[in-house]
Amino acid sequence: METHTTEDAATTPAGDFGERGPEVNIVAFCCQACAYAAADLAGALRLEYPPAVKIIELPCTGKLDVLYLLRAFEAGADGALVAG
Amino acid sequence: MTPTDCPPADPPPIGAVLVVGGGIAGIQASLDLAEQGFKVYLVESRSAIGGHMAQLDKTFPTNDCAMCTLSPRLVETGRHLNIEILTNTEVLSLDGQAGNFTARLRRKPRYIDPLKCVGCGDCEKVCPIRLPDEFNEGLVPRRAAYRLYPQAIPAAYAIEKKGVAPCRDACPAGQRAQGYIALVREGRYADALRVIKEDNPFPGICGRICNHRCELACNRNLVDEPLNIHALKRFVADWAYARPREPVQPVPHTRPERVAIIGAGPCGLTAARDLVSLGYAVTVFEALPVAGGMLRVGIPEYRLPAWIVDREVQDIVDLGVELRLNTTVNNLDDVFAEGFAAVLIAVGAHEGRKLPIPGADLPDVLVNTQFLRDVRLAELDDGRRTRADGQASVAGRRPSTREQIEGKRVLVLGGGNVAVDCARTAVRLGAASVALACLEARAKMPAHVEEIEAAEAEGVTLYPARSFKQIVSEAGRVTGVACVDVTFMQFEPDGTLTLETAPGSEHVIACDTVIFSIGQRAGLAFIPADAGVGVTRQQTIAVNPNTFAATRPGVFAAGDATTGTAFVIEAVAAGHKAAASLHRYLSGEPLEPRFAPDLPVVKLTRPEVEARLARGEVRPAPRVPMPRLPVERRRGSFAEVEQGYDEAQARAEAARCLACGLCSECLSCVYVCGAKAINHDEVERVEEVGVGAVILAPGYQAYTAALAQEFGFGRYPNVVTALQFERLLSASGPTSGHIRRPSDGAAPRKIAFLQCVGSRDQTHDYCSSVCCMYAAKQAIMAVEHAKVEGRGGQVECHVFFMDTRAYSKGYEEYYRRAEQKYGVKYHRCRISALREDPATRDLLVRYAESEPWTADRGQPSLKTDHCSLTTDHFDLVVLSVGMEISESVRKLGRDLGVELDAYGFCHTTLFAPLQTSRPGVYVAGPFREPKDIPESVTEASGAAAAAARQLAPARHTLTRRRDYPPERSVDGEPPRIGVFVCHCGANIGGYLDAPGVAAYARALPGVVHAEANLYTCSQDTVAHLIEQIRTLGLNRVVVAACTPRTHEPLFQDTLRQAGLNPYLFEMANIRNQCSWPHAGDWDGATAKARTLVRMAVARAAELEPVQTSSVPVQRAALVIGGGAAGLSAALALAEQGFPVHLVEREPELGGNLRRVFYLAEASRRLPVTSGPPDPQTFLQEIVSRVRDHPLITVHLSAELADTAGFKGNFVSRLTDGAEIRHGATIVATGGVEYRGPEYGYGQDPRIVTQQQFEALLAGAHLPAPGLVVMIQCIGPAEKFCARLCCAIALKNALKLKALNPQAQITILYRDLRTYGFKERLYTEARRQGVRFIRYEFDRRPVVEIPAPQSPISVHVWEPILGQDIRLRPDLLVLSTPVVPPPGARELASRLKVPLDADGFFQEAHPKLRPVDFASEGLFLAGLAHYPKFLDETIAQAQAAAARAAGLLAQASVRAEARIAVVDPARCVGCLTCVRACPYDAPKVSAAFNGVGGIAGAAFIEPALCRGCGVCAAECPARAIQLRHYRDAEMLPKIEAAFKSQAPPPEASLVRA
Repeated sequence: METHTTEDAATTPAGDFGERGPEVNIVAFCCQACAYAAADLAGALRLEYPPAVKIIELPCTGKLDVLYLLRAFEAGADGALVAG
Repeated sequence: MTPTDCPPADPPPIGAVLVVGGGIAGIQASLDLAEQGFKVYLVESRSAIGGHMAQLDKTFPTNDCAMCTLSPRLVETGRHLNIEILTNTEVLSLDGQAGNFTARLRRKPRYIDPLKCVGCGDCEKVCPIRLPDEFNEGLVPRRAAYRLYPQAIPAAYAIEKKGVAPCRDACPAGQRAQGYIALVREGRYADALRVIKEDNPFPGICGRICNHRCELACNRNLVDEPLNIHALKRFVADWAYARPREPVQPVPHTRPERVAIIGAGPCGLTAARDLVSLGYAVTVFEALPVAGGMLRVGIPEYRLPAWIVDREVQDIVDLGVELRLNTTVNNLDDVFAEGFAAVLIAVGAHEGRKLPIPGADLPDVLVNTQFLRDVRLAELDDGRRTRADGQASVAGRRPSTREQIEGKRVLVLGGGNVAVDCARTAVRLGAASVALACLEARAKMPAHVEEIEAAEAEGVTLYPARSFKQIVSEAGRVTGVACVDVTFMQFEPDGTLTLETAPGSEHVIACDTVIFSIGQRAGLAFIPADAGVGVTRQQTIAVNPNTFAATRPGVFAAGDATTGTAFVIEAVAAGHKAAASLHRYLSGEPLEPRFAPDLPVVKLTRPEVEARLARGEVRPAPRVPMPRLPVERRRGSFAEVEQGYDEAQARAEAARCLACGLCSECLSCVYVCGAKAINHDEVERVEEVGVGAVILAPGYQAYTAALAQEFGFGRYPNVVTALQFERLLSASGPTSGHIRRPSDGAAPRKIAFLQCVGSRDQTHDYCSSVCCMYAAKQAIMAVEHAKVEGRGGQVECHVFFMDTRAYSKGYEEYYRRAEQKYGVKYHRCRISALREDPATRDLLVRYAESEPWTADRGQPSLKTDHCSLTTDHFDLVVLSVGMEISESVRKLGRDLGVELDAYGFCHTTLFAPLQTSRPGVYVAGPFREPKDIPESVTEASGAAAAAARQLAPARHTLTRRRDYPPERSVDGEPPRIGVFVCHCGANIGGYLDAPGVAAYARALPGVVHAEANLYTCSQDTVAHLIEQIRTLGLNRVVVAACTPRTHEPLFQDTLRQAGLNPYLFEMANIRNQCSWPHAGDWDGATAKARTLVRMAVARAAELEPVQTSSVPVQRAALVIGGGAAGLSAALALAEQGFPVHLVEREPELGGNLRRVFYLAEASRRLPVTSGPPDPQTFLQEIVSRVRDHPLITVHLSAELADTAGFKGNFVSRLTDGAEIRHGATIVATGGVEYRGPEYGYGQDPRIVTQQQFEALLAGAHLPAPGLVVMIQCIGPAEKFCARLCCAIALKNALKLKALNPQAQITILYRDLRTYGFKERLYTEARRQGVRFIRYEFDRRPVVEIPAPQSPISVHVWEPILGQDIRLRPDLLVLSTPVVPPPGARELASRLKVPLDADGFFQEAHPKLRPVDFASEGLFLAGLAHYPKFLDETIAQAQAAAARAAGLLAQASVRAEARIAVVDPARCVGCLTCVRACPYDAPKVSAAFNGVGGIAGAAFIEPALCRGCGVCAAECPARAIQLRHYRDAEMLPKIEAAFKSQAPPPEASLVRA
């Protein structure tokens, strides 16, 4: 896989990890009321986890459409976490 | 009719309420009142609201996270326009009467302006002070600059400061000594130097020669010795000066005026520094060839090396001060003529004096200042010059100073520090001998003791208490001084001397050279009589002591020249004040300094210090000794005697500081705060607010476990309180949710919970109501934690208890789960001893193990082998501490004039449970009686209803609404996105490249503007945002900052203020979910921030405005049930002006209350203010009030037939045909006494229920039964605890005892659940001889009735005797439980609300929404919810009324913005949404055409939709979209997480 080191916004690829090499990309779908709040608290407590995890807030994990998961994998996700 | 049509009171009430206490009860009361249209002042004594609930980990019985459920309430309270949160505030007094009170509030400073603080926490990071973290129950320290807990509201930080430390107070210059000491302890020497120089430009100088009054004032004197404060200051200076000097940047001259300062001593130079820093051009005139004044020429080198003075002077000069040395000012007029706008005279006191005694003019008689100056200036020439210049050289014939000393016998006359300086200098110049004689007795010499001792060590002989008569000479050469002994001396206030000498004590002290050192004065020759500058009799310049202004305008004077000789620190202080005064003069301001209130000074008392010693917070430690040059190396050398501390010594000495003021005022926070929010000079103020009513919800304090010495708390580290254990369990606690025992951090494997610590004991005659359940919860959580940590649930929990009081909804089941599923071992005993194993710090618990239930079954035995003493090891002991009322809350009660009981609980009556003894003042929560969260929340709502009832005419008179400009349409516009990236001080900017992220955003599609800000949420940046939206024509906004959970509402509001729809906003969480968790990874965090911004921009581009519709509210209520709950709720609403329809299915109002004839008053009130409570009188009164109320329509013999609609708009039909339109529904259908076949009920008239027994007791014709047996926990109550039965049994038992003291009563029970004050009934029953026998379900009592007339026989196993016994009661009373009434299930299905497993109505949330149904607009109260006592029922009915009133007070209800919307053209009417929705919002209706125009498509009622989006996700036809979370908005965001919007073609190729 090609790696990019430029700062060009329009051409920077997935994850923007540049020379750090390929990363595992995780998308986390989190319920606004609980898991998203827990992630906020994890930050406040300075608990570390890899930056490859990106959190998407949902009003309820019941809102998680299977299409969201499929689209995430299609776009390059290596894994998905649903927490709520 | 409008809801506020009550007759106006006179005078009209004030539409505001004071709520005291920011715990969950205060929060609930505030929210309810604000929703009902009242202004709320929420007073909290701490720096944030949240109370005890915020400290809890989980809550029983659902194991919900306390913070997760509480936090939204906190945010809502913090953002509510009509709730003013007053933190750090106490109520001092309350004047006036109900409807019109004036409350006086003491507002303590928080030192950080909550309006400016953005909560970034930078102040906390730099704060050097560690204090016990009370939020974490002292398990860890926190800083003096702190936020109570991460989710605290207000989110602003605060500083904890008790006041000015005594060291600072004692210092004339106000040196923040505690501040630099704290920084030295932390090893932050550069910071320490910075704060020293804030008040004092001479750290190296004052660190050596200051007379350090700070040390006299030091509270450490109460422990051992004061801190060596000046030595620490010196250390800081030495540390700094040992490093290369950083060039000082000159201050630009921004003021046109020039200022002249005469005298380059400490006073003049301090003023010069201050003035040059203010932008003035400053010139300092100095007559001597060196600057520094007395510091440079009066203090010997061995005490103060010249290079230190030169260095510190240079730091001032380099700021841009012009220094003219060797320049004597002879005439003030010349100075003004040169163009100076003002002059400061700071010439010091350099003229020594001699006593006018014979021989004083002899050549070998010297004067201190002259002598010392000659020596210092001679050194200037590095020993080449032997003669001093100036006047000395004019004399010409005189020998050099050194010649006058070397080899001579020198006698110094005087007892001050200068005298000692002279003596010790003489030693170093090689005198044959040196002596010092003075008026004062040795102990009263003004010189420092250490100086005197040092002089003696160097060989100086002391002759104290002498008066000098004459200097004896021979041939012009001094031979001695004639003295007499002084027996008494005293300087009078006017400066004159009273002296008594011993007759006949005349003697001569032999010497060759005499040095007078009896005081100095200013040389004022340059002030001619006509200069217009007044001079005092003491030859000082006359000045106004406040302004330092001399009598001539523009001339100021300060320092020794105005006061006579003083210490260097006074000169510094005078310099500061003079500069400030000059500045005011030159700025044309009034010359008098502005009034500055006195700050409180912290004086620790001996008991306080001893308490800290006892707690081990302070350990005795003597001063770290100051290393000194050995005496043998001092003679003949001017090398510095005191060597100064090294780093280790300095830090050890600094660690002795008691941190008296808490905050040390080191100013580190001030320097770091980018928002300029910190003001250390804030002072306490007293404010008054006008309110119509007061709600007291000050909460409880946990019992002080240290008082129960037998449990070892405070002595044994592994004994913790339940609140500490909560913090150990909490993921946000000190151990991040890993249970670790304090002694060694090990994970405990065996934990003991000791119940009733501070409850049900000799000093507490009540039960704290919550401890049994929280202990069960903590035990369960401990086991759960152990599982999660991979030890397979290896933790063993033991609970030592008396009765398990699992008396409320779901409690019994929870408690059984603890025992059965989690293996918690319950021991029904109090422990007999607790010791610590000093080697392991394990705890040895000794207790009586009783096993009567399984062993020896059925074997009558009096042996005690079933009850043996056991000792067991535990890793950790948790004390289940009870509730108490703190002294400060008791004081509050007394100050406000409400009646308290002996324990400080607020007295109320059973029929008005929320009303204190003072009209207009209400109470909620544990201040009334120990209670759990749901009861507290219920009471808070109820108290809000009571206040609202009283203030109804003033509704909406003091509330505010925010006005917004009209919304701009963005229809058809391409996205014009603005991106605002926040640094959050260092919180984001310190961990990732925020400007780089902004630059990256600028290139994203649709983005027309991107910028980075220091604090995006600060008031000025928000204003800037509005401006940018308007000027750049932005139509979408992205803020990349913290979390939307706290800040989205703020920015949405910003958009509205800028005329944009608030839903055109998106946040990227680059702090909580990026910079913080990836703090060590700059590149990774920066890359992720870019990705998060890219995702936000992708969604923002697709966002649509969302309009919310509103529907007018039907401002009437339907109350179902005419018992105590229904009656109370109906009245509470009607008296607020809302029409009520009260529906009762029986032909008569009153419900169960009709069958209650007397009540047991368990509260312990002080004076009895009313007669014994009579429920029937109460019932008659309330029924007639309901019947007479014009707004209440009573429907008897009627039931609800059907109901439809949604909150604010219901239409209901009754079985009597009435159709009612109403906005809210209250379910108060009550319960009935269970009448089942257990224990022979129904077979014999001598077997009755408690309700029947009560009727018998109330009737006059009670056949006095001799022996009564009662059986508890009947039928359904074997499964759930019906809460009432124990207390009712005791009530009736006591009644029978009152009627017939001979009656013998035996109660067969499982656990006596007399929670709260009802414990007193239990105690009283035992006192009166009621017998109690415990049984278990596996060995129930057996009731036999051999024949109709024969005695009833009850067999029961007596566990203490260990045998079966037989009772033959005349009457068997069955304590049958309250169960749901018939028809409850049908009603539930008509209302579409749930029931719990036992058939009671299920509230929305067992802790925080105890009177709401999950469906909005529906509320519940009374026995329909769960069995409860009359006072609890009344409180809950009022609460339901308050919740309903919150809705009815609104003119209209606004539907949620985030709702699901059906596209009928795609709907096939499959009912998937109908089945999926938890709120019954979707309907499939023939009124809508679906796919292909076929009738029958889904419709989602906006007012019912709660916006969860389940239907949208489930809909197989994708016919449903959730507004603001449409697929068109979400999918681009998901894709953008992995790829940019416009991937370059080659990238596509690579992927292909």
